[in-house]
Amino acid sequence: MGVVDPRLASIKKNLGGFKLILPVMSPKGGVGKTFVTALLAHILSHMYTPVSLLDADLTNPTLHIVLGLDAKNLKVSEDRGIKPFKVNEKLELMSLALFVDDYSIPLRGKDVENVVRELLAVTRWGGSVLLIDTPPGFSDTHLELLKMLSAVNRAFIILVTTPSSVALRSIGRIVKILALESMKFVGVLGNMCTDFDDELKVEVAARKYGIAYLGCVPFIDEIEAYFGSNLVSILKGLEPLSITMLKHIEKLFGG
Amino acid sequence: MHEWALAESIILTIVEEAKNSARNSFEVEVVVGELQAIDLEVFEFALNELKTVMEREHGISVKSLKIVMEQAKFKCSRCGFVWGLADIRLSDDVKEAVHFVPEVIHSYVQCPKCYSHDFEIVSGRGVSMRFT
Repeated sequence: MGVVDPRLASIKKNLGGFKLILPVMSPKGGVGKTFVTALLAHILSHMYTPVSLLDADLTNPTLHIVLGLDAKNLKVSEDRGIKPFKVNEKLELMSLALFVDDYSIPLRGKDVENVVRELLAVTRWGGSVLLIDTPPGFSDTHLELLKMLSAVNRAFIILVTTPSSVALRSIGRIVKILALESMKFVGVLGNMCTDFDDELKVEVAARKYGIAYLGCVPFIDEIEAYFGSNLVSILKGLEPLSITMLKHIEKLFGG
Repeated sequence: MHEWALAESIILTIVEEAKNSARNSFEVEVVVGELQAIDLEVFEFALNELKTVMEREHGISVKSLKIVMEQAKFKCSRCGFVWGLADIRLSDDVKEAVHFVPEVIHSYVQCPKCYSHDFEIVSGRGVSMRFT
């Protein structure tokens, strides 16, 4: 018999501990996936605590920066596996930044596959919802994640887009290909929307591509000022969006 | 300990194989890569503890469980140079990071000949297994 990867059995067990797994995706770069992931984590933490976060942007992890953490202070702890970093009482994070401080991590396809499997196999999560921040594109990381997530039938993709026609077209492409594989979506979330017209563009695209419209995050000036604990202050102005998101997620929990 | 998680992967795989193959007796070879620098004493202890629980709870017998070490070997994807762990020096911090996720070695190690970070871990990466 050939070589067997023992991590696969652990991955199935570990992911099986979540009620919902939500990869945040966009084929287009620069639409704000990482920022939106951090915002969503805060929104979901009102109901599902702790929210587990995986930074799957393996070669250039930045979710910890948006969460206001310095890589130098991120320490790994072990307890029959690796414990995610406790961001606060409501959020826990696993990221390669825990291991490489402020270095880039140059990885080819086989390495990406190994990192995805290693992190999913040895991380001892504590949450019931896992949010995954993914890199732009649709390549090794995404394919390996989707392969691993197929072992447990509880992944729903959240797509992020700006109102630009380029980003919206990219959303159309990825929906088309993932729908052929029967992947499930929570829906599409707009980001950096400046007015009602922008919101309408995202809503119309969502309808066109046959997925739910989740709302829009407005364009925020000097966004870096809101990184870290200040993220919560943005949510005060986004109450309707938070309610809509929680309603969508609640439905998935129920069904 | 991280070694417990790796040992648990082996045991879960045996349980899964028993379900899929309707067999209940196995001979297993576990390959441990040099790069991950696993504490063999802890790993073997964890394997034996978890194996005993598995045999009792699932009625599965493991007739032999052999651990084989595999040397780490790297090959530069730019110039083709091949080297091993003995040819480079890693700080304790890097060793610890590599222990958790071996691929982070790409952040810290360069090809000794052309200094590229683009190299392949040819062998001795981490833990794998085969049923014999």
